[in-house]
Amino acid sequence: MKKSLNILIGILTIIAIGVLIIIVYRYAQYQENEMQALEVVAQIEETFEKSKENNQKIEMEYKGYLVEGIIEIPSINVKSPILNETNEDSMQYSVTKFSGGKINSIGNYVIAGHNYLNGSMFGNLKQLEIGDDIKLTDLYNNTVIYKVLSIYSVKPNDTSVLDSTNKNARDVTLITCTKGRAERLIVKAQEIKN
Amino acid sequence: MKKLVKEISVVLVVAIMLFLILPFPANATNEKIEIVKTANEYLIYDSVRMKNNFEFAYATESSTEVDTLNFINAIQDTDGNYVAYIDSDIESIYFKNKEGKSRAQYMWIKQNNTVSNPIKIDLSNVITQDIVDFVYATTNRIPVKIGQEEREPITEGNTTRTTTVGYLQIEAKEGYTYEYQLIDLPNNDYTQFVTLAKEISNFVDNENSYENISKINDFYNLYYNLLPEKWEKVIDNKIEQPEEAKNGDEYVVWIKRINPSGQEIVDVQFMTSVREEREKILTETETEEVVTTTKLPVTFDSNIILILVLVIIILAIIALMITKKKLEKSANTGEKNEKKS
Repeated sequence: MKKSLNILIGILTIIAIGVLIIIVYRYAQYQENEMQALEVVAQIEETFEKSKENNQKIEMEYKGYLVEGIIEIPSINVKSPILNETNEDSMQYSVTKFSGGKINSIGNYVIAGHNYLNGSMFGNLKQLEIGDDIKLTDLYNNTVIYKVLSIYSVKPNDTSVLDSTNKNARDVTLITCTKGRAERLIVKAQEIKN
Repeated sequence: MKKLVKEISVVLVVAIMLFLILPFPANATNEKIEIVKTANEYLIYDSVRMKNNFEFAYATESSTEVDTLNFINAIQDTDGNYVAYIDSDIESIYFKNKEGKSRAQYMWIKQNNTVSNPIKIDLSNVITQDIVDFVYATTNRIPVKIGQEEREPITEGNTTRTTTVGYLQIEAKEGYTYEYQLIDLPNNDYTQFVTLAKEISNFVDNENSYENISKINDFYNLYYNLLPEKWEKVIDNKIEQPEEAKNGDEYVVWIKRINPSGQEIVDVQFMTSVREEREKILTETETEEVVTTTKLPVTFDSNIILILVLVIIILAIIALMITKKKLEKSANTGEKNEKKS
């Protein structure tokens, strides 16, 4: 009996160490992806600086996906490239456009991102507050500042969050998971007009 | 008849003699004078004569006898063009009245032993560095960005039409208001203006050669001649291309910035419109696809499961270790009881 217990404890310890290694490896991977995404943002900003005069569009790819622009949320320290496609692969690397027209165009531009426990991507989205700023910059270096109007949770099949609140306004909606994968945290923001 | 022939012959002979006796005046109809004010002097460019050396002289009266003029040698500018000049001495002698105010005077140019007609020189209308700087700063006085935006797609039946259009976004300053006027091209009044703007934007290193100076002056004069009288308010700091604009249509956009104290700055932009329309006919399968992809994406951190598994394993190990301890303890108690008995 004692021998069998020892064997069982040994096996479980080995499995625990294995799982721990996988967790550590995956978080290291997220960290690496975040660093690379920040490098992409830096490259875009550098190109903007160089081509200040001519207002030409920058073409940029990251991990095989086209970059549509940059999202910056100063209050929770988010700065990432927005990839043009939402799928399991693209979402590993950065936040992605889930629906909407071109970035900063009239309508609702929806961005999805993982809520990683280490706070990368949209991991700290729940800390956002009403009135916080969200900046979206397109690849012509035009920045539009949006103000957070509402934060709430919905069921995954509630697609009404993809609709525009005002047909003539610029909206941005951020989506990430909450309560495991049972619900989605929705952040709705609208352009600030002077 | 003989008398008529005799009269014509006399007229011809007199005309030929007059032609030979009188100095042949230089044809001034195609020449263009540009006066540039530099730090120390005025440089006078004569577009017809500047490629070869010449002499020049000034006088206060256009009727002054050429023989009494005091001709000076031309100097060369940095591009090798020959130019007349007015330094401070010449200016005080010929170009200022008793009160020291500027007045128009006359210049003669002698080239290849030919003396020009008197050319009126007005120092109150010269090209200054301020004008040059003003022209080079055009399109940058009021910063704007060119953007494109996709309009909300319009679905009619099974066809979705998406239109992309262009606009100018003013980088607005707080408290300032903006007005604009949009001019359709081609427009006869603007043909030369647009051509000059394109040429000036291609000047290398802001080099102030005669050609450049001349174009800058023309552009500057046209700029003020074309300044619009009517303005429209800019809404949301954004100037949209007209609804009817087609892809590639060109516009001159005048923009006025008014600061809180009412001071105005005007600038001009050259906009090329963008209009791209995409039509997509949705098949039944695509329509279904749209429905299925509108479920919100899964964005949770899958490591949570692994962390839960790890916690369960650790709890199981702890439970097993406790059980093991208990078993060891009961085994030890049993052994002690056996010894006692």
